[in-house]
Amino acid sequence: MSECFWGWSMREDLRKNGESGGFVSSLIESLIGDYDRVISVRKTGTVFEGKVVDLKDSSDVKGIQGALHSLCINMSAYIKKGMRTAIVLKPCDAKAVIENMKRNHVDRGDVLLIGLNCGGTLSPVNTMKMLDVEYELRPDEVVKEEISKGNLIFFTEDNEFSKSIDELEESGYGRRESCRYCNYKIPSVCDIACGNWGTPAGGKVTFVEIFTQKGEQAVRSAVEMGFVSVEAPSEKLVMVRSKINSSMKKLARSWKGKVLDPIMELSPIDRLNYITNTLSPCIGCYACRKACPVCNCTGDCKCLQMDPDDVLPIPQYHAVRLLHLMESCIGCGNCTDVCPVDIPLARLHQLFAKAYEDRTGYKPGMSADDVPPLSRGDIPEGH
Amino acid sequence: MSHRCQEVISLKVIDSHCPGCSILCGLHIIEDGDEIDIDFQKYCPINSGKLCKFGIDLPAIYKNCVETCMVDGELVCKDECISAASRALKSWSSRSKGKNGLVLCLGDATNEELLSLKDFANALGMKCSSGLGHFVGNITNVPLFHDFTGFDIIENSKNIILISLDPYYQYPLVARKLQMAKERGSCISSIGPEGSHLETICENIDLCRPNEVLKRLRELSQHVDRFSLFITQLGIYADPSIVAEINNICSRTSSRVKYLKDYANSEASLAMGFDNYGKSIDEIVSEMESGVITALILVESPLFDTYLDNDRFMKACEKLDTLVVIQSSMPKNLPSNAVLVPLEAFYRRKGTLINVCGRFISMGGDLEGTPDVLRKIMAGLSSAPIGSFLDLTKRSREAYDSWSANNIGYEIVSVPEHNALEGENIHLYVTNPYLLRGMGHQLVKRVGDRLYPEMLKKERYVVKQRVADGVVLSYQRDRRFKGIMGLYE
Repeated sequence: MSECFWGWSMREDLRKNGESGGFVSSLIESLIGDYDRVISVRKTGTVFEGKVVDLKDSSDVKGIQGALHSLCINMSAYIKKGMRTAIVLKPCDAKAVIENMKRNHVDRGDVLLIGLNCGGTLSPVNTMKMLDVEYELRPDEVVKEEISKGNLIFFTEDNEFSKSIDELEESGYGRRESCRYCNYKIPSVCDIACGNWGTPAGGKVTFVEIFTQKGEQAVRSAVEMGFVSVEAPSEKLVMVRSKINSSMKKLARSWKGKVLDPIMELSPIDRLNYITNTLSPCIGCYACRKACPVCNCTGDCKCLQMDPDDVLPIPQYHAVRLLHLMESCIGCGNCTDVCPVDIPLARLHQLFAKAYEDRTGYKPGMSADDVPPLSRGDIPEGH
Repeated sequence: MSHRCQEVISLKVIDSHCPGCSILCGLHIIEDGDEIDIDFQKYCPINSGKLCKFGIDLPAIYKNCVETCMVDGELVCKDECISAASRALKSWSSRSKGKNGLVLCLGDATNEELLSLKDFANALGMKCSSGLGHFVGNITNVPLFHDFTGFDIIENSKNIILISLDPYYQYPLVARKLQMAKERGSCISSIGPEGSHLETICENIDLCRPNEVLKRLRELSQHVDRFSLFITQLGIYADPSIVAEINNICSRTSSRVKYLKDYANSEASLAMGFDNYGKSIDEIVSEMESGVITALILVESPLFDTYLDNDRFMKACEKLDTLVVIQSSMPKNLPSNAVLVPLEAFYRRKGTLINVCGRFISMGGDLEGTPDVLRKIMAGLSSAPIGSFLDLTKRSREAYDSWSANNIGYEIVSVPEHNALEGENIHLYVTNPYLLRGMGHQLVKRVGDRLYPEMLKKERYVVKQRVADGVVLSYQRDRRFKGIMGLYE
């Protein structure tokens, strides 16, 4: 049962300069001291540069940029078992945290998940190139970026520049491939989901949806301590938010069809050839394993347990990963981002995950209580 | 609401660059209490967050930091080891007439550290070496260090020739650029030993032994033009005759060359005017053996573990009057006469670097590193002090600006005699930075110190071929070493 509000910061500087009225910044400020770690992202240069910070006092809050679309940091990696952590994250990060709960790497009771709605993230270096080619802007001129109504908008100090995402993506720019076909836009597995969908035009407020008692308690406490203020949203804008979510999901389905269906429609032997050819440049650096937010095994990981006499250790490594991640890949795209030889690994993993989901109905990252079908042994007959 | 833990483990994320080679890929280092990890820095324009195996394995290097101070094989406190270094250098300085002292730093040091070492060496009457000085000194006018074209030149070259390079294994970031070049219609050729996946990017693969490369290069030169780009490696074991020949081809045909280098700040040794000794590593070791060099300050240059004739290097070091080792990673081997002074890990140091594309880069650490150590050693000597860090940064910026404004063209140089070395003077021509730097690849980890002698017995796996500088040792990919890997299981 969820509850919705419009919220904003009570700190003048954050309300004025923060994203959507600075609600998230002030909410996490209110949590400092209550959690061992309060984790978010801070801009370190242009809006395309930033790093994770552990906030220790109110002065750390300034410059926090939870919604930087161009950072693509795997936030779930910053949750350490046994540390009580409040963390701001994207929907895919939240799904990764849920998968880690299943593996006992995270305790649900230890974390407060503050999710941010996400229409997709951008590869920073490709985006800086796009700025030059498509927008004729320098990265240091951009003060804010936003995805709205099918457009990618960059704001400078005194202007805004908007282009159709569809057109940008056809030209090889725009959102990362995995984000294009991701259909999880509002992180409902979090305690709270925040964003600017369903807010009044030009209004300095955040749309806040609360999913858990812990989330409600955090917001109530922040209100009582005077960090934030909230009010009920208009019904009309609640509907608008829902429509935006639906249209983003529809777009995602269309992209999934465009990217994955042609591969699925290949004959089994051609599909196998496609997969092996795509993996052939692999140099065995294991960066994909390192970047994967749900792959947390240490030295005893099965994907590295190769027979030294086997002549195909790298294909074996990928075969094990493709099978393992079939029921846990949350489609974050980190593996593709970090591959030094540009193998579209997320596409391959999603190919397997989609086939698995089609057959079993199982979606990873949606509930810590879900047991994967292979683990519970109730795969439908014939599959 | 919950209670905050009594002891909160601090989490710190530091902007950094990989010291694995002079590409200087951007990454984040995560300090989480005693644990060290990496995160990908996807906004870094150098590598877009991508890392090779070395970068992925960086936590293992950084965990192996020097925590102990040693003097003549005995554990001492840090103050005592600084005093011992100071006393040893003072003593050497007073009786060094006619003898050489050398500061050797292969490259894992910031510009500020190189400048402070240079100042320190000048004060003591010592020389400085980056291990590449023989290229600068003997093959003049070769723009080894001075090509600011970045990696875009790879994507935009119509004809690319790889010389003894295994890009997928050695420099995956370059392999990406080669893939892009191929997609744009470039013709890519390879001359040299077999490499991994070369067939996926190269139209022409001329497999040959290292001693045949120079001949093949000369044969190829008639097909090279101003749209051609050579890519090869310039490390301490690189073959001077091949370097000179490539330079001459570039001069005659207006083609270009991109040299990839092994150490983090190799590019800066010329810009900072660091290397004023002009000798190769082999020549330096010979001079240590013959007593020409009697004092050595070895800075971030783990040659005890990575010089491929370890025994020779250790024995040469033991002949020295004075040996001061300033290093951040703990050496496996250390001569008994060494004073080991610990240095903070690379990522913890602040300062600036220059990468292989000529980018001037800042490090995200907050410690001075070598200048701080040198100041303490200087305190015991009556020499001029090391300047402030701010001053060193200012000087490094000025040196960079002056260096980068000075365009060096390709001019014909004489080609050193090829295949000239005889007798015991064998070096290993290493085409793999993992092995050169003594870690990284799982094969190297598995066989450890026994790697070299055992591999030499396996002609099938090691092309043991004398060239100008020695022997080839390459091909560390798993599948090709399954026999050796099996041997050590």
